[in-house]
Amino acid sequence: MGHHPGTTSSHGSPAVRTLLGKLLVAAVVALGFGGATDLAKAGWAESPPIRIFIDEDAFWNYDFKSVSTYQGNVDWPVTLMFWNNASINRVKSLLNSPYDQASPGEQRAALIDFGYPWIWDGDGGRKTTLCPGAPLQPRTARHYRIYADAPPGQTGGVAGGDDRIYNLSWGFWVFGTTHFDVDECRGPGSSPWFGLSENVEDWIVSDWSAKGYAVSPDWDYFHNYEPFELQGDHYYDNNGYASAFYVG
Amino acid sequence: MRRHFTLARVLTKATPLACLLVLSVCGVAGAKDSACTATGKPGRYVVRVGDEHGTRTRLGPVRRGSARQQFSFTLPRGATQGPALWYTIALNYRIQFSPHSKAGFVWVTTDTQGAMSGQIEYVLSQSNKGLAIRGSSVAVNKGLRKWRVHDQADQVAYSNYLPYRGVQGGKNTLTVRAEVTEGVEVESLEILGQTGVKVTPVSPYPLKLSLHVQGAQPLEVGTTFTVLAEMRNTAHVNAGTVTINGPLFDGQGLVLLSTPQRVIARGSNYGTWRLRFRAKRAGAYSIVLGINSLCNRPATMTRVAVR
Repeated sequence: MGHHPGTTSSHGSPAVRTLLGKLLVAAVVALGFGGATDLAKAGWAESPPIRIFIDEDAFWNYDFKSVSTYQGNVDWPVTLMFWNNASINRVKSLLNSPYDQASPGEQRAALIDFGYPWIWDGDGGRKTTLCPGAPLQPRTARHYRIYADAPPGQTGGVAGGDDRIYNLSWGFWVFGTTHFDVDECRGPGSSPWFGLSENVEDWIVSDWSAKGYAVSPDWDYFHNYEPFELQGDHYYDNNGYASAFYVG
Repeated sequence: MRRHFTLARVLTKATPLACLLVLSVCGVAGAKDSACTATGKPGRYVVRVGDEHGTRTRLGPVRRGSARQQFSFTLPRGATQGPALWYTIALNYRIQFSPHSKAGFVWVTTDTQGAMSGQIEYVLSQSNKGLAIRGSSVAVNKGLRKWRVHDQADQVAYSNYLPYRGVQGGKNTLTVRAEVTEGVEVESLEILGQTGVKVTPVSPYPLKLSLHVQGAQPLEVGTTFTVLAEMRNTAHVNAGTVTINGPLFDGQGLVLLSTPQRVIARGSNYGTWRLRFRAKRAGAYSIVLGINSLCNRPATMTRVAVR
C-alpha cells in the first residue's frame, strides 16, 4: 500500500487513483466572482480561481500577488501537491539541491480554509538561482512556492507558515506553484519575464523522481488551465493538471 | 525490530461491536485535549505498546537517517476507517536531543502500512544561547500546535485519526520512526506505554452542515429569499459553542439582510439559522457558509439563480 521512495508511479496508477480519486468526489466550487469580463487586461488568469475541496479542507487553485482572490490578482496556478508525510520544511529539505536558494523577499500568498476561519499563507519559495541574470549567474531560475497552514489550535496554537495540513484522504499535505524567473536581475534595458508553470512542474517531477521518490505526474485536474499567453511580464502556460508527490 | 502483542491479538479478535461493549475510560484525545469530547463514548486500545508504568521502547541514538520500531496488530476482517468505527493513533514519547547537534530537522512519525497518522516536527537552530529547538504538530480538527523545547528534552502526548488507507482488516503494522537531517543528533527516543492504536465510534467530522434555498428558483430580481442553514451533531460530542460565520457570496448580485454571524448551538446537537437575502441582479450565485466549533468546521455551499 502506498508509494514508497524508490518507486516512481506512472500517471493514473490504480493505487493513486484510489486515494486521490476522492478529489473527484469532492466538490469543486466556483465562487461567483462577478465582473470577470476584462480578461484581456494584463495579469488576468484565463481560468477564474476556484476552491478545491478535499474532506473538510479547501484551498484555492492559484496563488495570489496579495491577499485578495480577485481574478486579476492571481499569480500562478497550483501545480504541486505533496502528500502522506509532507510539511513545508520536509519538502524543501527533500528537494533542496538544486532548489537551495531561499527567496524570502518575493512573498506570494495562498488562501486555505478549513471551514472557518480562512487562512492566508505566504511563501517566498525556493529557486535554483537567487538572482537570475546577475553577473556570473544563469539567466534562468526555476522557482517554486509551497503553502500550507492550519487554523490556530484550540489550546494555544498559533497560525504560522512553516507547517502542513492533515486530512484522512491525503495524510499530511502541502501544495505549491511553479514558474521560471528569467533575467530578473539583468538590469536596465533587459526584459525580465516569468512563467511557464507547466515546464517547471515537469522539472520538479523529474528532480523528485531522480531522488528516488514516487510521483504521479499530472495526477488530477485542478481547474487552472492556462493557454500559452503573455500577460504583462507573465507567460501563462499550464495544462490544468497538478502532479502528486508522495512523501515517505 | 518487530513485536507482536498478545493483548492486541486478544482485543482485535473481538468484533468491532464487542470492542465497544468493553469500552474503558480512555479518551480519544490526548490528556491535553478537553475539546470535542464524547462523553460516554471513549476510545479503546486495539493495540498498546505497554501500560502506563510498563513497557517502554527506546530508540537511538539517531545520528543519521532514521530509526524505527514496528508493532504488529490484527484488526477484524473488513475493518475500515469509518463510517461506523474510527481508528486513532495515541503517540506518547520522550525525546532527548544531543547538545552537540547541529541545525536541522527531526521528525517523529507514526504510520500504519506507510500511511502517516502522526508527524511531530522539530526545528533545531543555533543561537547565541546555544541550541534552540521548536516543536510543532498538526492533527485533524486540532490545528497547528507549536512549542519551545527546553533543556534539549521533550515529552509529547499526541493523538490523531488514522488516514483512510492506514486501516485494513487482518494484519497491520504500526511504525514509530525518528528521522534526522544531516548533522542533527537525537540521543534517544523513548516510546511510552500509552502509545497505541485506539478505536472509537466518534467520527472526526461529527458536525454536518447543510444549506437549502427556500422557495422556487429562479428568483426574480428584487425579491427577498431565505437560505436555511442546518447543523447536526451526528456524534453527540461536546462541540462547545457552535457559530455560523458570515456567508461568502457575490455582493454585486445578492444583498445579505441578516447579521453575518450567529451562535446556533450551545451544547445542543441541532441548530438552524435562516439567512435573508435580496436578489439584486440576474445571474447564478454561490453562497458559502462555514461553522466554527470545538470539533470540525465544515463549510458548504448552495446555489441561487436569479432572473
